[in-house]
Amino acid sequence: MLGEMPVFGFRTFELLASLFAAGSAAAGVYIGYLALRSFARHRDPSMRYLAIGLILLTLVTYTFTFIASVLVHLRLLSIPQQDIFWTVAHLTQFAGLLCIAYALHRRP
Amino acid sequence: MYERHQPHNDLRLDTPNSHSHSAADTERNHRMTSTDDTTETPAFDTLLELLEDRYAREILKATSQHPKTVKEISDESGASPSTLYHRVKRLLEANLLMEQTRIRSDGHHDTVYAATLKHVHLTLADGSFEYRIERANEDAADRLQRLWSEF
Repeated sequence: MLGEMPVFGFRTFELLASLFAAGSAAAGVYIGYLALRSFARHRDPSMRYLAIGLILLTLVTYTFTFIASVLVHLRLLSIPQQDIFWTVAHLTQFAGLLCIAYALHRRP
Repeated sequence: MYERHQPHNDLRLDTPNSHSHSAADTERNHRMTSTDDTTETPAFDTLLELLEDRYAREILKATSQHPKTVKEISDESGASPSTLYHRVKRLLEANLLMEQTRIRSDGHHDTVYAATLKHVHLTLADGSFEYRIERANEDAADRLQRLWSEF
C-alpha cells in the first residue's frame, strides 16, 4: 500500500501527518503573531486573547504532541506517562479555544 | 521620519505662493505623482501648508508609530485639543492621516488617528516641481484588526 511505503524511515502517511501538523502549527503561529502585532498597534485587548488562544491551540499543543510522539517512538514513555502527555495536549487545546471564545465574547 | 532630514524652512522657500505664478501656472508647473493610486494625493500647496504647520507636524510625528487619540497627542505636544482637532480634520482631508477605532477594556471605544505619510519626494527638474508621496499601506496586522472589528 502506498501509505505504508517508507520515506526516510517513516511511513508515508505518518510523515504526511507530521508535515501537515507542523504546517498547521506554523500557520497558527503566523496568525497569532499578526494578532499580537495588531494588539501592539491598536491596543485591542481581545486581540491579545486571540493571539494567546491561537498559539496555545497550535504551537503549544503541537510541541507537546510532537515530543510525546518522539518519546513513544523511542519507547521512553510508559502508558500512564503517555496519558499525562495527551491530557496536557488536550488541556492546552481546550485553553486555547477558551481564550479565542473569550476574545470573541469580550468584543463590544 | 523625513522631516528630520528636511527642515521645514527649506520647504517654505519653495512654496508656489512665494512666487508670482498664477494658479494656472502653479497647476501646470507642479506635477503630481503618487505611489498609491487608490488614495487621492493632496494639492501641492495643501501639502506644504500642512508640513509647515507645527501642530500638523506634531500630529504626524505622534501618530507615526502607534495610533493615538487627540487627547493623547495633546498630552504629548502640549497643544490644546481644539487646535489639534482643526489640524486633524485637515490632515484627514489630505489623506495624510487615517481614522481608526480602538476598543477599550471596558467595552467602549476611542477614535484614534494614525499617520499614513511615510515619505515626500520633491524634485525640481526641467523647470517644474515634481512630488511624490509614499504612504504607509495597510498590512496584514491592520487587516486582521479591521476584519476582527467588523466580525
